[in-house]
Amino acid sequence: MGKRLKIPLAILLILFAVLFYGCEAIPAVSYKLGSSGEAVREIQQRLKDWGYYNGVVDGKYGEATRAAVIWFQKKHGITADGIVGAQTAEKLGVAAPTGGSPSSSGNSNDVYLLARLVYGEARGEPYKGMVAVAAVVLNRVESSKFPGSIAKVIYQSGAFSVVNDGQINLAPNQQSLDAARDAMNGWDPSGGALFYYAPSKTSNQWIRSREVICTIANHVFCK
Amino acid sequence: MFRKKWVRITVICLACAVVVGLSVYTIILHDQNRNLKNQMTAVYQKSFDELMTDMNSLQTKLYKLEAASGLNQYSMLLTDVWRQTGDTESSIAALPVSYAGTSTLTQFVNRTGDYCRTLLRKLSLGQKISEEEYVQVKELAASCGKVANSLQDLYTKGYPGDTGFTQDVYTPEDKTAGNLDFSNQDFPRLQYDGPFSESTENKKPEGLGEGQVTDAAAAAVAAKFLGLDMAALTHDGETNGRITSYSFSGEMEGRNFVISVSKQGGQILWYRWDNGGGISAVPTDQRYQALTKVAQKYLLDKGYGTSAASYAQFYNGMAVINLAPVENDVILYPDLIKVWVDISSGRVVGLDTNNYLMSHKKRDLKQPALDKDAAKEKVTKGLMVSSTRLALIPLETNEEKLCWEFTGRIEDRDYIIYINAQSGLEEDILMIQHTNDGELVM
Repeated sequence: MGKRLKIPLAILLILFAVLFYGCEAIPAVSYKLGSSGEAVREIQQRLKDWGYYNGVVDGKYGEATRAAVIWFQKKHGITADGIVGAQTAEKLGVAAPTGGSPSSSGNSNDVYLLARLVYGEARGEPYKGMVAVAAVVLNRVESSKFPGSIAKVIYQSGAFSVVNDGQINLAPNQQSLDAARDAMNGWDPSGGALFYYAPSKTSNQWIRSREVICTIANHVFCK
Repeated sequence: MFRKKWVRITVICLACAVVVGLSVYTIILHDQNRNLKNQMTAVYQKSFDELMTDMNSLQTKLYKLEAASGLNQYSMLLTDVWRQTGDTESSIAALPVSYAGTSTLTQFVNRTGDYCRTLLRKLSLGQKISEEEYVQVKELAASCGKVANSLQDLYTKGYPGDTGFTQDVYTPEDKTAGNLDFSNQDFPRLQYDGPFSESTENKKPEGLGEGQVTDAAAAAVAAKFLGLDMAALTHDGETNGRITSYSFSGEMEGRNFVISVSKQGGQILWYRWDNGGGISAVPTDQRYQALTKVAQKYLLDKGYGTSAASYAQFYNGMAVINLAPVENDVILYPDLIKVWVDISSGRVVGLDTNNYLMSHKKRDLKQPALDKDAAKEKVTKGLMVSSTRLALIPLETNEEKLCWEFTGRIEDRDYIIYINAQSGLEEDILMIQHTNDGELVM
């Protein structure tokens, strides 16, 4: 390799290094003992509402706030350092979530999969309609005519178009996750439906001949 | 002259390169496509083969029950059938054929497994398999044989073959679906009670009360429930589900709500009020207790009587608290009601009474034959009991049983054990899982 090439190459490498390092090193705002301001006030209010903080909401990060933060962190399995970093802030709901991702709880895989289906099939529908789509999956799990788990129902061959076109793999938004949780907690706006379709997009006579239970926005839910 | 020639050569060379490149690319794509198709066909073929094997093996095991006489053989055969129906169901679900053609087969397989499980339960209680049940088992075996034969027929005709299955979802009128179509096959009707039985799937609501209400009367019920003027409600139509209902929506304090009122009896089926939400944090135990009190008072005020909280989940800035009515110191789990409370404001933002409306009725609960101490003798010695109470619990068999409920701990794991208050039978064991979103009872 000639000398003339080496120099630009080195510059390029340095540029790359800086670029990648830059991506990693976006500093996260954190609040700790001595911090003050509107954000601290918000943190205190949230801690108070959730029962962790009994002091005054004054926007000053003092010992009482620190103790409350430590209690909150312990309860949620976050390193109890008394500092509100990215993770604690997200859990407290004072920072934007970093995008829907499966948490470590017992049924979280099912919730997340269900949320992905809801996001693929029903984003843009009113919230009630999103919950209804999730409820259809759960009604199928309960039904003798369908397989017996959420994953088996969603991945049943040809059951949902979003599985075929890959939309099932998109990251769900918060609303889809909430809809999945609401359905799993028993809310069923579909009235026990096993099927749904968008009349404007379906010419299938078989599904159109099913007994209709209700219509929510663009979806018809049926038995 | 020279330059023109040079340009022509370059263009021709480039064109050739493009053609060659595209051809190679097409060949690679074609190859990949063929490989993928072969792989998928192999998966389908495997499911088809397994389904054939499973149906044959189910038939054999079901027939063997008539030749068995000892409890150990009964148990092994029935457990085998139950396990195998799970595999069979998966094989059917993996086939790329229409739901319309296979739903009856899935149902048959599910009910066969379910039925054998209820027989297992009977045997474990010291009861015997009856003559009628033997007849049903033989009918099940014969049906498995029929299905196995029709699959064998398709197989010898070269189905599915190297063309793969045709994707013909939900279109039974499509002739290709006819290849694997059980929609017209007669499967035996089973008389039993289990999660998949006809009796369970066609259960009628018992807690709705008398009389049908009109759309307008339902709107009045909803308006009164919410403390709103009827004009604030938008009619969203009817829902003809297991509990037929009218739906309404509207806006309250700048936030949307939806509410549903049953046609029969004019009862609130569900109600939800949008909350800001998005927060997944768990409140402190003390705060949770306060929220529970809010939910209990709410139910009392709305006419559901006194209730006790069992477990809760926390998401979207809310606590969803599961409460069961309490009558004569007995907690009635079949009538479980869910109440959503906004954690920061402590206001109720949702209600779901589906279980209550399905199950609630006047019950004549007998005095327990066993007292608390006698029941505790039946609980495993390893359980460090922290609380005991009387509870009515729903069973898979659609029955309700009065039990002593023992909540306790083994090492660091939490359990709830139910001992039948009449017979002393251990009816159910639940494990409480503490998750980041609250408690789950499994």
